[in-house]
Amino acid sequence: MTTEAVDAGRRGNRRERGAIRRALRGALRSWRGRIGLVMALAVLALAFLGPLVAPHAATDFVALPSSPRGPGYPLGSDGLGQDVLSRVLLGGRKLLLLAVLSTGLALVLGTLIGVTAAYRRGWAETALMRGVDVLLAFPQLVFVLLVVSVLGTPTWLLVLTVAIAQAPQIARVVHAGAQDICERDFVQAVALWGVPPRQVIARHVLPSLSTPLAVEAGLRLGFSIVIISGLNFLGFGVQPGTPSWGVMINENRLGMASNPWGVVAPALVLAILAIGTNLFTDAFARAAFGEDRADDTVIGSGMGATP
Amino acid sequence: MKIAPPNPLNMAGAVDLNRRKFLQITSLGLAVVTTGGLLTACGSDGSSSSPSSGGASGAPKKGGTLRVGSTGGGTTDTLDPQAWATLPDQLRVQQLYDPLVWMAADGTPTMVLAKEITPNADGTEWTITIQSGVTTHNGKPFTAEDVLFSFQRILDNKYPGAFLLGPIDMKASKAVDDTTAKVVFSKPFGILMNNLSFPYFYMVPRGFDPAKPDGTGPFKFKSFTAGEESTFVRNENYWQSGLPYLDEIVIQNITDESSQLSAFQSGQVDIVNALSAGSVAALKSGGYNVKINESGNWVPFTMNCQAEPFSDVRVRQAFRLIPNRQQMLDQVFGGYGKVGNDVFSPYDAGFPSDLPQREQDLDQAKSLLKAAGYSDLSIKLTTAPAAAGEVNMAQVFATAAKGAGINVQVDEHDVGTFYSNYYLKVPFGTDYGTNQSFLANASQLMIGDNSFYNANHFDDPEYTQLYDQAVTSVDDTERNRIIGEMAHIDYERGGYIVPVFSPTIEAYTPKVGGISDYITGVSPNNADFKNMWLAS
Repeated sequence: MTTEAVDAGRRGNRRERGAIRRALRGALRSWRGRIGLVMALAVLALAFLGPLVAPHAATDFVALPSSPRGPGYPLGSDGLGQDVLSRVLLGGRKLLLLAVLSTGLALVLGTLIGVTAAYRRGWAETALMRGVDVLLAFPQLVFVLLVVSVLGTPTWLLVLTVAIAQAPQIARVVHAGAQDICERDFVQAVALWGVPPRQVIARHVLPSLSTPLAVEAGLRLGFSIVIISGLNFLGFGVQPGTPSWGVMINENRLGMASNPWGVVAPALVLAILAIGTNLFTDAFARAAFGEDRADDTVIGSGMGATP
Repeated sequence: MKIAPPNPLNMAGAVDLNRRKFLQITSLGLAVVTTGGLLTACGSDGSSSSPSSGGASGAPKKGGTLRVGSTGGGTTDTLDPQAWATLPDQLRVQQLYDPLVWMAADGTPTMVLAKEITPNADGTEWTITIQSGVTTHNGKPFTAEDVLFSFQRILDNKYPGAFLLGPIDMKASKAVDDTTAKVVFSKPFGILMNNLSFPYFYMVPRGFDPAKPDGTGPFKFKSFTAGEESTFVRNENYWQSGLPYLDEIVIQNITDESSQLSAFQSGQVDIVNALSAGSVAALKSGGYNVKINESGNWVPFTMNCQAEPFSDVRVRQAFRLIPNRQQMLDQVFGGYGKVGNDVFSPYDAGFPSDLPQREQDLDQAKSLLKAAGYSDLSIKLTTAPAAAGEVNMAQVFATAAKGAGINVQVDEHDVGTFYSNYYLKVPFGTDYGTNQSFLANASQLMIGDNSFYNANHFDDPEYTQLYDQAVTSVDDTERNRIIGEMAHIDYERGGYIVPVFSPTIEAYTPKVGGISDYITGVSPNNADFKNMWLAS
C-alpha cells in the first residue's frame, strides 16, 4: 500500500484510455466495424440532415392514400396521402435524440448503482444488486409498457422509463467489473489515504471500466432505439400526425399491398441503424477483449432477445 | 337532465339510453364505424352501377352457408333485439327478428311486419295493422298483442327505443284484433312511423327470453357465443314466401381489419365489412368484389356552444370554414363517401336543398376570429379511434387550422378513456353517428339538456320550438318544411362541423349474390341477408 500502488493505478487509467483508442482502431480495421459504422452513420445523417432536404412538409397532402411511387413522391404516399419519403426524412431525429438521451441516462444510473454496490459491499451491495435482479426479471418492453400505459407518455417519462429499463443490465456489467477493480491495491491504497469514496470511484475505478462501458453503451443504444420505436409503433409517445419511423410502420400496414414503401422504408432505416450499431459495437468488443470474450459480452446478449 | 356518458367498453346488457347503443351500429372500443351506400352511382367507386351490381349474377339460388367476418363486436355481444350494442349484434338480430318498419337501403322507412301504420287527425292515436298468418320460430302465432308486448318491454326496461315512443300511453293502447293494434299517445305525436324504423324496434313474442331467442325473422337460432360466433339456420316457415335463400348463416367476430383481410383472403369467410379505404386497392387487385357505398354516417367535430371560445358564434363559424372538405375526404377516406355541409341527416326527406356548400376560407376564418378576439387561438381537439377515420380527421383538421393561425393539438385517447372522461365534457372533440332521420338526430343531439348526446351543447329556443312543432305534426310536407328551417339554424349557428359523410366499404367473394347499394351505413349490405344467396 504505497505510492507505487497509486502510480500503478494512474498508469492503469492511462492504459485504459489507450485501450479504447486501440479498440476503436481495431474495430475500424475489421470489415464488421467498418460496415457497422457506415450503416449507423448513414442513418444518423439521414435523420439529422433529412429535415433539411425533405421535399414536403410532414402533413402535406401529395396523393390519394397509399398511392404507389409517382412523380413528386418517389416512395409513394402513406395512409393519409402524405409523402412517405419526407416523413422518413423527418421521422428519425426525435427518435434518435430520445434514444441517445435514455441510453445516456441509463449509463449514468446503471454505473452509479453497479459501482456503488461494488465499492460499498455489505448490505448496500445486497440491496442494490437484488433490486437490479428484480428489475431484470421483467422483460424490458413489458416494464416500459406497464409504466407508460399507467402514467401516460410525456417525453421526460418516456426517456426515464426506457433508462430505468436499461439500467439494470448496465449495473450488472459495471458491478462485475468494478468488484475486481475495487479490490486492487491501488484503489485500496487511495481509500486508506482518506480520499472520499466519490473521488476514488471517479478517478480510479470508473476509468478502468471505460472499455466495457463503451461496449455496453453501444448495445444499449441499439436496444433503446428498438424499444422507443416499438412504443411508437404501439401508439405511445407520439402525437398523432407526427412523423416517426415506428408509427409509420403501424399506420401504413393496411396500405402495404398498394404502397409497400410506407412500411418498408421506415422498417429498413430502423433495421440498418440497429444492425449497424450492433455490428460496430461487436467489432469494438472483439478488438478490445479478443474474439472469445467478445462473444460473451456482445453476441451472447444478442439484439432482440431478452438481454 | 344529462345522464352519464356511456362507456362503450362496458355496455353489456346495460340499459342506459346511450347513443352508442342508440345511433350507432358499431363497436365497442374498436376502431370501426360502419358506413353506407347510395342507390345511385355507387359513390366514387364506379365499379358498380345497379342495385344488384357486383357479385354473382343470374337468378338467386337456394342453399349454402354464408360466412360473415364482422368487426366491431366483443364479449358483451347480445341477441336481445331491443338492447343490442355492436355491429355484429345488429347483423344478428336482423336475421332472427323482424321490425314493424325498417330503414330500407335508400334510408326511407319501409313496412316489414307492419302492413299499415296510420294516425288519426291529430296524431294522438295510431292504428298499426300487421301481416296476417305470421308465426314465430317456435310455431306460435304472432299477433297485435305481441306488438304491444314488444313496446311494453322496451318501455319497462328503458331500452333505447323507449325514448322514441314519445308520449305513448300503454294503458290506453290495446289490441283490436289479431292483426290490429291501437296505440294511444297523451299528446299529438306525428313521427311514429319514422321512429319505428329506428333499429331497436324488433318485434318479440310475449314471454320473450333473449337466452332462448324466438322471433319471426328469416333465420332461426342454432348457436351463439358472445364475442365469437353465431350460427342461424333457415326459417322454413318464413312469412315472406321464397325467402330466405340461404340454408345457414354464420356470423364471426373478427377483431381488427388485418385479421379480417387474412380470414377473407384465405377463404374462411365470404364477406368482410366496415373496412377502411386503405384495404380497397389490395382487395380489388385480388379480384374480390369490393363494394363501396356512400352513407349518412358522420364523424363530426363537436364545438361546445356553452364554453369558450365556441360560446361566440363567430368562432363556430370560423371553425366551420377551416376544413378543405374534398381534401379531407380524399385523405381520410380515399375520396369515397361524400362532402358534408355541417348539417346531419343528408338523406332525410326534409333535408333542405338550398344550403350553399360551405368551402374552406381561411382568410374569412381569420377575420371572424379576430372580430371575436381570438386571433391567437390554441386549443385541444380531444379524440379517440371510435369510428373509422376519426383520429385521422382530427389530424387533417389540425393541419388545416394552422393556415388560419389556430394551433390545434390533437389529444388522442383510447376509446374507453375518451367516453368515460372526455366525451360531452370537452370544449372541442369528435363524435360519430350512423345515418338516422333528421328528427331522431335532432332529438338526441340538439335540444339542450333534453338531448342525451348533445356534444355541441346546443340550446337554441327557436330550434327547440321548431322541433316541438315538427314531432307533433302529422303532415309530412309541413314537417319537412320545419326540418328545413331547423337545418338552416344549424347551418348558421350550430356546433357540429360535418366536413364529410363517410363511406361503407365491404368485400365479397365472387360467389355471393343479392348485393344492393344502401346509404344506411349498416355494413354489409344493410344486414339484408335474407335476400342474399350463393352461386355454386
